[in-house]
Amino acid sequence: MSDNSNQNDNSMENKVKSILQDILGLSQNQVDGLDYDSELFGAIPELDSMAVAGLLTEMEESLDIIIDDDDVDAELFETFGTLVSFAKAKANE
Amino acid sequence: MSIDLLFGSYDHQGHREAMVATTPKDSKEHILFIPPLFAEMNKMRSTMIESMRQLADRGIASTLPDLAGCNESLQNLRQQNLNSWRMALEHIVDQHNITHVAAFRGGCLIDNIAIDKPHFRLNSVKGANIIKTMMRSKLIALKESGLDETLDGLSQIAVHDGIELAGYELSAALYNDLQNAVPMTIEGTSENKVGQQVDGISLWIRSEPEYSALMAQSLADTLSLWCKETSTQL
Repeated sequence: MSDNSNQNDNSMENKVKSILQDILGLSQNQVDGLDYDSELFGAIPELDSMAVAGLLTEMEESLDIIIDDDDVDAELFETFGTLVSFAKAKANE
Repeated sequence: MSIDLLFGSYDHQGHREAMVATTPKDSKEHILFIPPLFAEMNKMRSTMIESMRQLADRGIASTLPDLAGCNESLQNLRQQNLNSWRMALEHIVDQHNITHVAAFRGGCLIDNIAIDKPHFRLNSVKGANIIKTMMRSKLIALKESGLDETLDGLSQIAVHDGIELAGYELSAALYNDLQNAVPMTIEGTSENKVGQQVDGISLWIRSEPEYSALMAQSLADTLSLWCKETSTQL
């Protein structure tokens, strides 16, 4: 059970990394360097409001989730960890 | 030897709209490129143009029009709708001996023209998805300015009065058209995706416009193969 849950964690982490890479054009090094504490909004200049909008739509398409825009605020993009946790919570709904 | 791009124009409801074309000598095939809509067009334009050059080097002509109200067009976007764009594209097909139709992203919503000719699509998308991203961007910008607005509230305005999204003035008619538009089924259409049939990256979702030499070449390879295969069936 815990093995499975770790696998899901890793797989969601990698999916979100891949989406961030696609949308923001981050290098492989930048993406590899992301951990749960890595700051996103304010720390990555490419992440502006247009990019956030694209990111949400791409997350919906790639992760097969529906995001209610009322759930979206700056805290969601505070760190890589908050974004992955949000995606996991939505995927489990 | 690289073949020059020709900058020309086509007629759209009595106005001239810009287009760019390559016309290699003795070409038998002529592809109409239907661009993505709005900002996605800007993000793919340089890569599409490089593909056109490479197709020309292989003897295949191609034309990429500006849709009225977009890019260099002097027309008001609020006067346009999906059908007016389709009619303009039909006109280009007739006037420029188009043999093949290749549509990109939102361009696939208006490619149900000349359905007797082979069709190619790259990452086709529902109109509602295009709108959703643009609406979200507007909502985030409004919230950043301290305005309390909701997606539902914005949608209500857009449905009745139209709305400005990411610098594009959409009429209520165009907004409603897009909300309901899906790529139409056209028999024999070649459906393609970046990362599968075409190498490259999803340029249209990048936050900054980029160019992909890999994608330009792969797109030209895939299009020229498709052209040759479908031309023998014509």
